[in-house]
Order: sequence, then C-alpha cells, then structure tokens
Amino acid sequence: MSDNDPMTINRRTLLRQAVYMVGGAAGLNALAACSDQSAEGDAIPRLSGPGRYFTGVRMTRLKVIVDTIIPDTDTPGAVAAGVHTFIDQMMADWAEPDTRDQFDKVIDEIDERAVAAHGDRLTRLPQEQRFAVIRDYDAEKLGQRNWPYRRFKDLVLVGYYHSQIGATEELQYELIPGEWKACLPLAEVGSAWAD
Amino acid sequence: MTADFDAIVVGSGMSGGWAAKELAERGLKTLVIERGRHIEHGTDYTDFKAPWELPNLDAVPEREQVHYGGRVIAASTAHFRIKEDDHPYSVAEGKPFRWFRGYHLGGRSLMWARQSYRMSEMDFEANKKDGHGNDWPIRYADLAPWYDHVERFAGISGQAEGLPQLPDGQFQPPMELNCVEEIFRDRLHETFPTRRLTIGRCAHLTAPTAEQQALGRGPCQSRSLCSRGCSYGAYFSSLSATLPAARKTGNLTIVTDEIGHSVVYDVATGKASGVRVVDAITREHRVYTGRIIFLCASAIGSAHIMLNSRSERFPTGIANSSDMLGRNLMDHVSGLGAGGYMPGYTDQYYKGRRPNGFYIPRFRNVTEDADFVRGYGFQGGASRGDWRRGGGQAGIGAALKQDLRKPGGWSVWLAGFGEMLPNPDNRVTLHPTKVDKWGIPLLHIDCAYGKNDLKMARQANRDAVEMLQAAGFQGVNERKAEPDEPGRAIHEMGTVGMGRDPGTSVLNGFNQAHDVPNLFVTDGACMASTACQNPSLTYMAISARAAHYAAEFLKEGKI
Ligand SMILES: Cc1cc2nc3c(=O)[nH]c(=O)nc-3n(C[C@H](O)[C@H](O)[C@H](O)COP(=O)(O)OP(=O)(O)OC[C@H]3O[C@@H](n4cnc5c(N)ncnc54)[C@H](O)[C@@H]3O)c2cc1C
Ligand code: SF4
Repeated sequence: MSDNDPMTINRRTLLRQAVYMVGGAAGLNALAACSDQSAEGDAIPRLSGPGRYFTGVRMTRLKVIVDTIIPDTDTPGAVAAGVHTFIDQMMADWAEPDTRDQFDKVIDEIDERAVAAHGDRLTRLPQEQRFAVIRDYDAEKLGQRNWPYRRFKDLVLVGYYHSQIGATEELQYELIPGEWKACLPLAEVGSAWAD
Repeated sequence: MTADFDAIVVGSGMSGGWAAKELAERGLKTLVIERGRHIEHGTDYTDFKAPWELPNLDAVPEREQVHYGGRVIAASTAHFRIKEDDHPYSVAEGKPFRWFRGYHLGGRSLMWARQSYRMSEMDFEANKKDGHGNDWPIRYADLAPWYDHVERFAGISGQAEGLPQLPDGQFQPPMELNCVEEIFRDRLHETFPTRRLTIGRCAHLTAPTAEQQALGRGPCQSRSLCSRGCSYGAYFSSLSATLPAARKTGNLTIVTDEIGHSVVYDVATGKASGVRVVDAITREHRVYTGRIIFLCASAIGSAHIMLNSRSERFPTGIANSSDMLGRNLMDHVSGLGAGGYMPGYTDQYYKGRRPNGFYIPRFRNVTEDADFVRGYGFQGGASRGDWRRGGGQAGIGAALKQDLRKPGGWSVWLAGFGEMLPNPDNRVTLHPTKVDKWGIPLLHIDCAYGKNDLKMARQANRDAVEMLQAAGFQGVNERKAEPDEPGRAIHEMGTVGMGRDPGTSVLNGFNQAHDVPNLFVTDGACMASTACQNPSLTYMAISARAAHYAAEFLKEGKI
C-alpha cells in the first residue's frame, strides 16, 4: 500500500494534513486530543492551535521548549502554568516588531538545531534528544551573552515563577507577609521566596 | 477687596501637603492647587494584586516605554509617572539633566523610597565655613523642634546612634538588619571604627501612634509594594497623612488639574495677590486670590512659576531683584558605589520584604580627611538571589528547577549620595521661544558637576570597594566610574535659595521672599546647600516651620 492510502496513513501525516485541511484552531484542538494516544508516545506533542501572535507550528514548538526548560517534576511545570500562552500573549500585547522577530528566531533556531543534530523537527524528537538540543543551545547562547535568547529565557522564568503555580506551588509567595523576620534558618523557611 | 482664601499652596507633594496641613490647622482657609489629577488614597492603588493578577505580569508595552523616557517600568506604577513627551524641557548642549517628576495629587510623596535623615549642625555651617554658596540663615537649632514635630506626625522608623553628623530623631522601632548585614556592620566597625552602619531610617509606621491610627494609618506589613501606593497608609505620603489631617480642619480646598502659571503681583501693596492658573483640561485661565502664597511645586517647578511671574517691577521673575532666581540648581552626586558577593551563610534566610535597607553615614571630612570638601553617605542592602538569576546562567530542566527552588547566594550593594556644591552658573531659565501645550514657556536647564563633585565621586567609589573588600565580600566591583548625570538622584534642589543677604539670595530665614513678604517657597528650591542626606525630611520640617511663621506674621498684621 502506498503512503497515500487513507487506511495506512500514519499518525504524523494525518496530523500534518489536518493542519492544512481543517485550518482553524478548533479543528487542531480536536485533533490534538488524539495525538496523545499516538503510537509515538511522547514524541508527538499535543498540537497547539495558532496563538494570538504565533503560528500553530511555532506555538507547538514553544510549548515543547518551555516544557523542556521547566518540566513537570514533583510540582507542575511551565506548560501547566501556561507559560507558552503567556509568551504568546506578550508578543501580541507587549512586544514591538523587533522583539517578536527575535522570539520567532529563537524558536526556529532551536528547531533547526534539532534537525541538524537529529534529522527531525524538535517536536518529533524523543524527550531526551529535545533536552540535549535545548540544553546545548541554552549553554551556547548564554555563553555568548546572546541578548535575544537571554530575553526569551527571562520571559520563560518570569512567566513561570510569577504564575500562581510557580509562585505558590514551586516557590513561596505571600502578598502580605505582615512582618519582617531578618534572620531565619533556611530550613525553617523551606524554599526560596518568589518575591 | 477680600481674598478668596487666606492661604494658597501650589503643589500637593511632600512639602505642599505639610504646608497645607499646618496652615489649615492654624485656622487659615487654605487652597491647594495641584496640576495633576486627583488620586484617591486606597482605591487608586494596585497593592492588593499578586504578581499573576497583574495584566501581562505587570509589563508596560514596549512601544509605550518611550513615553517614560525609554525606561522599563511596571504597569502597576505607570499611572504615577508622567509621559515625558507631554512635559518637555530643554537642556544645555552636552549637559544632560534628568528631571524626574510626579504630576498628580500627592506628587512624589507617593513614589519616594522613604529614606528620612536629618541634616546636622555641620551641614548648616558648611557654606559659611568653606565659602561655597550662601550662608544658611538658619542653624540646626532652628530646625530641630520642627524635625521633632514632623517625625512624630509622619512616623519615622530608625535606630538612635548618637552621631553628630546624623542627628537622632523621634523614632518608631527600627527594622532589623539581616544576618549578612550584621556581619558587614561588625566587620566594618572593626576595620573602620569611625564608619557606622545603621538600619535605614524610613518613613514607615512600625508602632503607629493614636494620632496616626485616627488618620486610618496602620503598621507596615513588610510587603515592599510601596511604589504602588499603600492602602494601609503605612508609609508617609501626602495622601496617607498630611492632606487627610488638613481636611479634618474643615479649612482645606483642593483643586486638581489646574496648573500654577504665575504669581500675581500687586504693585500697590507690594505683595502677591494670588495665583494665575491654567486649567489643564480646558486651558482656561483663572486667578485665585490669597493673603499668603506658598510655592511647593518642587524645586524646579517653583522656580519655573516664579520665572514666569513677570511684571514691570520684576521683569525677570517675581522676587528676583538679586538675579539669583533659578540659580544654584543642585542634586546629589549619585550612581556611585559598589557591589559584591558574600560566600557562605547559605543556611540563613529571612521572611517578609523589608521596604528599607541600611545606611552608612558620612565620614569624609567628619572623622576622616579628604582632598575635597563635604562628603557622602551610602545606602545599601544585602539579600539572597532569587529565581531571576536563572535567566543568565546556563542550565535547563529539572536541575534548573531544583536549583532555583533554593535561594541564591548573598550579595550586597552600596549606593553613594554625595553633596553637590552650589554654583550660580548651574541654573534654570525660561526657554526663549518654546512653550508647552498650555502656552507656558518651557524650562531650560543648564547644569553640570564641578571639580569637587567629581573628585568626591571617585573617592566614594574607592571607599565603597574598600569597605566591601575589608568585610570579606568577593567579586567586588564599583558600579560605574563616573556619576550619573545630575537629576538622577531625584534630589534636585536650590534655584530659590535662602540666605541672609537680599542681594545674593531670594528667601530669608523664614522662607519668605526678601522682595515680596507674603510669598513663601518651602520645597527643595529653598536649599542653600544639599548636605548628603536624602532631603525630604528637611523639606517637611522647613515647610512646617515656615507655615508656622507665616501664620504668625499674618496674625500680627506684618504681612
Ligand atoms: C523613586 C523616587 C525615590 C525617592 N526616594 C527618596 C528618599 O528615599 N528619600 C528622600 O528624602 N527623597 C526621596 N525622593 C525624592 C522626594 O520624592 C522629593 O524630594 C519630594 O517629593 C519633593 O517634595 P516636593 O514637595 O518638593 O515635590 P513633589 O513631591 O514632587 O510635589 C510637587 C507637586 O507639585 C505639583 N506641581 C508641580 N508644578 C506645578 C504647577 N505649576 N502648578 C500646580 N502644581 C504643580 C506636582 O504635580 C506635585 O504634586 C525620591 C523620589 C523618587 C521619584
Ligand atoms: S511595605 Fe509597608 S508601607 Fe510598603 S506597601 Fe507594604 S505595608 Fe505599605
């Protein structure tokens, strides 16, 4: 049977075609749900619809990137905290065209690194390879004091640690501490303050 | 003809609030004219919002940042900032000056960092001793009871130290130093026995008095959200303290969105008869008449109004027979200092956000000599790093999360504020041709540091580095080699200076214009020298004192 046979079409092709066929975000979201049960497991993320600024493709990459930088561990990570949505919203509401270009480029560059290193798009790599690609990119860009990437990473961190999840589940935050205790054993406080 | 008001106060900020309170409490029907919009204490603040409740996590859109001088600022405080392009001013070629304003009810008393220090006897004597500037017509003893008065009402938290260069005041309980600050203090005192480190003295209530509570003010909650305004009224501002007290007398009227244009001079009486205003919204002109006029529009703002008050008698601005109006513009020499890291103490932390740091009072030309005159003090603080450190360091994934879950290492900063000498060539004038949206001539600022200021700046950097190194901090770096441009300290003063001689100063020892007996200027404009302490507490004391005398003179029929 040929690859075009609708009966044998693989999951990957289906999803890719669906993007063209359905177009709208609603269709993508409907499809995204089934991608989780994909035979490729982790390798295929939930497909994101286009954001308010980012295209659907970049939104999907962004989600993978923030999930890799701040994953779920014993506490929820960046995706649970909505960091990808936050960054998209910042591009729409806050960023100037130059900044948007910088962010697009960071996202695309990471994807190009994936293709160069592993021959496939970032979103289709297994978790370990994604991690290696982003870890190396992060080390290289910060080593070069690369400003666009620094801004990107800063926004990921602020998006996470100032979200309710990041500030209150991962770290601690008190809107009204009520008192200043100048010297306390760290063990008594527990984790770092979000602010 | 009877006047509309007994007293008119132009400006509702740090000094205007005090003038209004003291005049109204002495039974004078008082009008406050404020150019900015009304702000409602409490309801106009954003201090009950957690970070995630603020739109876009509190970022101001990049395209709008240009209106705020290109600075990245928080959206939750942007409504206290002017849009610079609405309020232009010009500067002399090659002489940058940053004029940082707050145009709204309460002025910069809502925006300040609340550090509150008295000037000392040596500060009031300095001009006379080394010959720079006019001799102050008052001494510490004249102001001391007024410092007591304003501290009791405003509420200043601090630690008494018994230092001649930084007199103690009427303090509420001090805040505490954290562990590394205590270590720094102890090692500093060992190495430099005459350099002291003390907790910052700040206008926060730590044990509110009955009078403060009656105004609806409560104790500080250690939130450090002060720049959004404080609904607890825990820090001193015109809105938390002086204006509510003035309102209680029943003698206060406030108008907002009305720009003080000029002081009206009456040749027949030789006195000021009122204030001409421009409605900020309709641009209509109107005149309010009053028996005494207090200008409290901030140092440069008050000079601006006076320069624009031109008459046949005073063609270059009201009360300017000395030609000193607009001259001797000063700020603190700032941008100096150093920072470093303290290894270890990683098992020590704190709880709460202390809205205050520590202070190292002046030692140059007090206990240690220098190759310049006057001196500087340092503000500073030590704290542990937070998650923001993750942005610049390599690392992702679970390990990054794990690392940022713990506080980072300890770091410290020291920021020097130095005394800038008076120099009549540093001045503000009216722009010869350009006007603002309301038809008022723009202000032109011509100001630069002198030799003494720059020499002092270099020594301040050296001292900061030396103190941190001696205390065991590592990676110690001076902040920058040259000071920030004048204006950056936001302690601008001078321009309508006090002095004994009407030939060389504009105001006398009661802040009364030598030439116009019912005109008083009590904001930073009146300062004959800057000392090195944050100045606002002194503006408060001077305003309260001048209001007292103005009311007396009025009662005695002297003005
Ligand atoms: C971020 C920041 C931190 C600071 N930290 C400290 C500190 O820690 N310690 C310290 O001592 N000082 C500090 N300052 C400085 C302090 O805020 C000022 O010294 C103080 O507010 C000056 O008081 P003022 O009454 O002269 O002026 P303002 O408080 O600025 O008030 C002037 C008022 O007059 C109004 N006005 C101006 N022109 C006109 C006009 N033509 N007609 C009518 N109204 C007019 C303004 O709108 C304003 O409301 C800080 C300032 C800032 C901005
Ligand atoms: S730290 Fe104190 S003064 Fe500042 S906002 Fe909080 S309660 Fe108010």
